[in-house]
Amino acid sequence: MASRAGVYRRLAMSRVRAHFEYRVSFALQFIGAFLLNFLEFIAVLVIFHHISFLAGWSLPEVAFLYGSSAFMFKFADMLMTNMDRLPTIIRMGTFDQVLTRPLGTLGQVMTGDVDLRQIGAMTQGCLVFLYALGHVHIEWTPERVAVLGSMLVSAAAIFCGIFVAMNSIAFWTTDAREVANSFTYGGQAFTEYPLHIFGVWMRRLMGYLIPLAFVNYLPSLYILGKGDPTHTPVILRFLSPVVAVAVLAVAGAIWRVSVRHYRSTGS
Amino acid sequence: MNAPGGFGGAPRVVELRDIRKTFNVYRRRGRIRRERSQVDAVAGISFTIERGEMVGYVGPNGAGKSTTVKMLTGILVPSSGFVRVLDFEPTRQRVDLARRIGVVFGQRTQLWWDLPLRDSFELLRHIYRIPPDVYDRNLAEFGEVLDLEPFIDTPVRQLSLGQRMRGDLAAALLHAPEILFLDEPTIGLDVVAKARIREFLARINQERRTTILLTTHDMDDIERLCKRMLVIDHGRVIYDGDLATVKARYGADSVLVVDLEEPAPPIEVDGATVERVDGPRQWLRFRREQMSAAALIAAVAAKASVRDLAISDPDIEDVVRRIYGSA
Amino acid sequence: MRLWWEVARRGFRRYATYRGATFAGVFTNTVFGFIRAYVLIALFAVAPHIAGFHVSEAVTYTFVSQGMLMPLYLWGWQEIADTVYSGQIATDLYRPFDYQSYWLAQDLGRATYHGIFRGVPPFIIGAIFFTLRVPHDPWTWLFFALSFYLAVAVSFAMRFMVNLSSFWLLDVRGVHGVAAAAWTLLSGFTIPLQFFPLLAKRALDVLPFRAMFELPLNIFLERVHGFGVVSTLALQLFWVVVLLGCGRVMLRAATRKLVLQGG
Repeated sequence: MASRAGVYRRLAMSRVRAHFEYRVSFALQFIGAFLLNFLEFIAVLVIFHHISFLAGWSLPEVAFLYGSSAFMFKFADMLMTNMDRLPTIIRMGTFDQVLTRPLGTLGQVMTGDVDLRQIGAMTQGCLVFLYALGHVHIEWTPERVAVLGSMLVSAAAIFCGIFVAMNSIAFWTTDAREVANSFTYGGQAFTEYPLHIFGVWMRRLMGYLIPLAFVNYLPSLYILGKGDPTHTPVILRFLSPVVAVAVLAVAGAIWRVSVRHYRSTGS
Repeated sequence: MNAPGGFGGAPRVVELRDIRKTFNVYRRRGRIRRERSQVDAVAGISFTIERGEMVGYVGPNGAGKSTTVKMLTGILVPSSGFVRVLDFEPTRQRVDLARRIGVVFGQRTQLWWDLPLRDSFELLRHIYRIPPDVYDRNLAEFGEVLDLEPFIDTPVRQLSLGQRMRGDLAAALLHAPEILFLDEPTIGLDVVAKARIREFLARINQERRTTILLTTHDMDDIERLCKRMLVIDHGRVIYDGDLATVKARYGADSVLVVDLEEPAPPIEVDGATVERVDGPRQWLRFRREQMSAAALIAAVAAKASVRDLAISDPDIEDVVRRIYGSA
Repeated sequence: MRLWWEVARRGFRRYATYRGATFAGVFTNTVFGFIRAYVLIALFAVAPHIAGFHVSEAVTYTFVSQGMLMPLYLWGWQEIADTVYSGQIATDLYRPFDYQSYWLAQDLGRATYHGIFRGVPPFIIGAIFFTLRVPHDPWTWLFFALSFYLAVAVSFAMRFMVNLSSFWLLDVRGVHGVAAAAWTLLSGFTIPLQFFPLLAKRALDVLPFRAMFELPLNIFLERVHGFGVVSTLALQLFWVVVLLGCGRVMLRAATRKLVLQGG
């Protein structure tokens, strides 16, 4: 078991090394990723130029959501760099090679590339999150710290699960690629703001069916001590880790079924 | 793990029984409608391969060769039928089987594109968990026989086709697989490179008793390497036997095209028939088994002044057509 | 003239073949439209009159700009850069027609396809679920169409230059990423430029990016009337000319580089 993880680590590190070959381009894109995400945050600042509270949440509180979402999403995005290329991998026949190796398919696809440039984007999200932490009013208790930690881990896990589940579409059809984007990148946008600004149906579909509400909004209600205008049960605020595990399990199952479908129908 | 030079274990390493593979093909009709038709890529194939055999798998394009190999290696799931490779079921025991086989696709590389060749080998060492002594020994042997030293530190993307193929072969054999599946390994290579690859494969087969299934379009590959040949067409095996018999029974005609100095009546030579005459050019059909090309040319030259000539040999399509025609 | 029309049609048809991708793309556009709309609705719930906008205008802004995303191809257009890396550009540059005009005509054809099949559906869906402000004056549609094509031309001119940088850079993605980030925000796509603080808005007014979203949407939302429409179109035209001109300068430099290196 340990040696298997070691193999995956080696595969991933070889990609990292390959990226460093192009040092200048790497640096430019690192900075670019940071800038790109910073420019997006400016939109939030512009909004708060006019108001002090958005749906009852202050700027630091919105930044808390925005930062945690951006930070963890970009982290998941970094891990899933190669997963995004699955349509190309399938089209070029590279996935057949994956099937001839004595390793799991999911692990091979994920370690097929690791894009460290995303660290620039992650940094930006992290900075926004740290700014939020410094400016929100939190009554710190050991429980709150625990929930905060589990929130971040669960967020990354849920995003990873969504990436895997959505990209599995590539095994079924080549055209529906962009639908995946609605829920991965759309998922990030969705979790950057308080859930209750969205209409009922959107909340239900994207917040609970695709359980994005558990990424940061629900735990934040507890951590920040805020009321919930949608009156959801208090217990939900602590269920993020459970939901994360469920999402990963479902994503893994979808992946397996999709690979099985690919092996039955060929390319 | 696997001691070189001999494996214990069952003599039958590949077993296919009535394997079928049907694909759904969609075609667009008009703006929205899609028409679905079924294509039988493989329509009932059965054969077995014993340990240590070197088998040629030939057939025209689209005959089902690649599909069969994909089913044997676990890439594709058969629509129906029984398949066992080394006592594993490729569909359900993909990883276990992958550890014991080697696969080389002629047109795609198994190596990592932007890494030096050596790094690819290192990664494979970890993926296949090759013991250090086996790895070192194999690397040394392949490095010498395939002459990898000059480019072993070059990124794979900078290698020529011949170099890359040698690298791919070495990579596929590093973990001492019991079976090697090769899909068009000599395609696009020059004569020298082909000879070197064939030599290497013959050696591996003899010294290590590695079973080899070789898919190819090139009859020379078969002639030089395989005693046994499986001919497949339209998803069915139409011949399974040794090469000599095939040539004797189904050998196709070669054609000698001569440009004479001036138009002449059809040349009569024993052992050849004139198939066509067009001004000074004549087409003569003959069988290489019965008369060598040199003898024919000499006979023709004795009867007329030859300005230029060319010889075309039967290709696999001709042979297959003949076998199919008589099946 | 006939040539450019044919080229434009070709551009239209090339993209018309990606039918499945179009549907998926509309889905994505719509989802993002919804997200952005709800954010603005929450904003207007607290401050109902920002920059003289009514909330229905802000939501309309969202769906129209979301629909214009693909026609303006804000992110990821690398066709020319690809021909540079493949070497194809060497032959393209020696064809008997103007290189930049050729690509512009193709892009306008492409934008027409995207405008109809990626732009209209999200707007219609948005109209079903939200209250949108549709133009009151029928002439507005015509002026908006003009403004739309001018916006595409501005976007094209900038994409053209970013792509040409591939002559000097091994990998345009870095430059492209930063450029895309810049013009996404500064054009008014992410959030209407009128929402920015006054000083920032004044600075943004002298930049060409507003010609891509702010200006066409001013026309669509009928925030400008009569001569205002004319001056808006004129400003867009001004930027089209300037940016295409810069593009031609860059093209000349690139061609010279190509000749020197032997193609």
